Amino acid sequence: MFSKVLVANRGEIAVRIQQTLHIMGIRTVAVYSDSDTTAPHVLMADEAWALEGDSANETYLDTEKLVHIAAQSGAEAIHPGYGFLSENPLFAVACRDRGITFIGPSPESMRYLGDKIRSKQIAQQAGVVTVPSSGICNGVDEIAKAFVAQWGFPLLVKAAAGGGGRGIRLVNGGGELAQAMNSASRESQAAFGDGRVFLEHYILRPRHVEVQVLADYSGHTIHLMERECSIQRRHQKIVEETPSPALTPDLRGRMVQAAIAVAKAVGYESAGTAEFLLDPQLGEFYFLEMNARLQVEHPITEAILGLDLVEWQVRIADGESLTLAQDDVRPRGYAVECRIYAEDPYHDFAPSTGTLLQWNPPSGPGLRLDSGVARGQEVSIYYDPLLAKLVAWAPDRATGLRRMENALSRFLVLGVITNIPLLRTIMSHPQFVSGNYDIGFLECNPAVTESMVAEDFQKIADALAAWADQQPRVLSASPDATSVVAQNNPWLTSGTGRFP
Amino acid sequence: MSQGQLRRQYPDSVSSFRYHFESLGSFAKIELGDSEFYLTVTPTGTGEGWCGTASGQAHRFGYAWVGDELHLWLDGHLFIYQRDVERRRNRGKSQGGAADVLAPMPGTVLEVLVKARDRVEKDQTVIIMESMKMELVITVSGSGVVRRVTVETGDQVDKGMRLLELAEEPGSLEQ
Repeated sequence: MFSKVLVANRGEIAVRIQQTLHIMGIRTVAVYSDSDTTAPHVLMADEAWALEGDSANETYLDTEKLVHIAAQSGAEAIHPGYGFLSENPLFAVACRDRGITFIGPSPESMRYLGDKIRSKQIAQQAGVVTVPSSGICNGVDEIAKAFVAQWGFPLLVKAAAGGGGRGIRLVNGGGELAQAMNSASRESQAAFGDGRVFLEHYILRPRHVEVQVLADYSGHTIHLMERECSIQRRHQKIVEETPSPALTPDLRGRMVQAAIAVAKAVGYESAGTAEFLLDPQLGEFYFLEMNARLQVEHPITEAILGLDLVEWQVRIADGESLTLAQDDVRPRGYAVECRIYAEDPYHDFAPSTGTLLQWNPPSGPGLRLDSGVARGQEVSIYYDPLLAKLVAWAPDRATGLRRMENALSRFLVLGVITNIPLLRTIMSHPQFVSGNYDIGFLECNPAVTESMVAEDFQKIADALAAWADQQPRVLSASPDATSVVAQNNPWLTSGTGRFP
Repeated sequence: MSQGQLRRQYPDSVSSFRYHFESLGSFAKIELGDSEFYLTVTPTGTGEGWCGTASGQAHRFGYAWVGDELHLWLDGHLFIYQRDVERRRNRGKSQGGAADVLAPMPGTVLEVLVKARDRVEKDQTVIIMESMKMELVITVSGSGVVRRVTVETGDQVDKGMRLLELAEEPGSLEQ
């Protein structure tokens, strides 16, 4: 087993990966940009190396710096987390060239799967139905025109690389097409170093359901159930749950088999996720893409299966075979995840920046918090505004949603505006609670993104504000970056992901 | 008995309100317009505590000052107030005249698509920004003539900072 691993990431995922590495008795090497000098992922590491600079390009996206630090520090492997370089085959090649193990799939399968067009061709060859799409377009060229002629509007412009909702534009008519293609291309170039775009047929209001797969180097491939990810804003997920309320046993059976077929077709190894669009009326699903990395929402899978996906990634990368058989995968109960973003849900999800003056997350049985921030820390414009992920496990869905709503109501954050009130509203929204929703949920329920405060309650707030205005100014809270490591994480307290 | 004036600006903004405050031993009396509130406040930490109302309800709260903004968290809801004593100085931010185009959030200017004296139409894209890795397209809300562009590619801008000045009357720039 490795004795030292570098985590080439920041925020909650760099914290979460190091937690598992520590449990496995592996020393961790953190890297950090100038503004992350005192971030939790740095303070918890056994070693921390400066990347010097602030923009993503000169820090967490700088292949040379990262590989150099890995070699200097004596790390035998690099875990890329998600985002940044996690799906960049060139980074995986650079690691391999220096004799450093890249914890993830091989550069070859990443090349196949990271390219959304090629991955669709592979899926089709494996007998899996995909969403109709064009080849790579160079502006509004012949390929684009032919696609528009066949499928019409609305359509999606999509970046061939990337993920996380970046480089995607919805186009309703020909007048917007050129600008949308330019804009998506630029965004993808900036975020992933690849500006290629294509067009995709827009399926009106499907559900987004994905299947987690796990495979080792000998080709043993299993699925780890599905995750329902239909609650999205700006094409980015904010709530995920498992099991999906939309899947019948028959549908689930067909979907997980499709995911395994795609993974096997590329000789996939490590943890990966096959994303599908589900038309709930027709009961049909279409393969969208395969994410060759750990997903943001992986904790809900861990919660119902009682296993640690990062541990399996590390063991598989170390050459161990996957000793888990499909029959060992026995889901227990229900889990939901809410992504806590520093953004204003009532004003077009505008990112909010500032210093975290209070950070007091809820804790208790059945709750897990994956957090990358601490009190006193600066939330800057440089990175994704994801602060933390709150997961609630319960024996059944109704209890899980109530548990989550209750936990969110106790989550005290001051200094930046967060989406917590919106998440609370969703957790108790009749349509969401019924389970009968799709990716149009926020658009179809505009009231959800309007703030509603009862007048009596508002008066109490005003009175308390007057009280606070009359108090001597309190000193701002002192930085508390280690608290995140000590707080309410089942990995640390029990050494296992099983809830409660 | 002391008094003050606050302006609530989040989640919704309303006109400012005046209050009267009186500390009466274990509780505080607060008058807002014609309503009176008696609150018992029990701190549990720095800027955190419980607030009991006369009707017997207790609410958990936290508060912190961000510059001259009071951020108040009450039972899972966030409210932001501003001391409304005098008009604040602008600290380099724009006054926000109707014809100015302001940065909707902090970020980096990726591209400036217009220059001074350009005529622009309503909804035309004038600037492209990046904030938290998201691309942000800035459009103008009315037609007019660009008087001055106050940022350039690569600039870091704060929320509310002026990006360009727009003369709404197309003739206003002709000499």
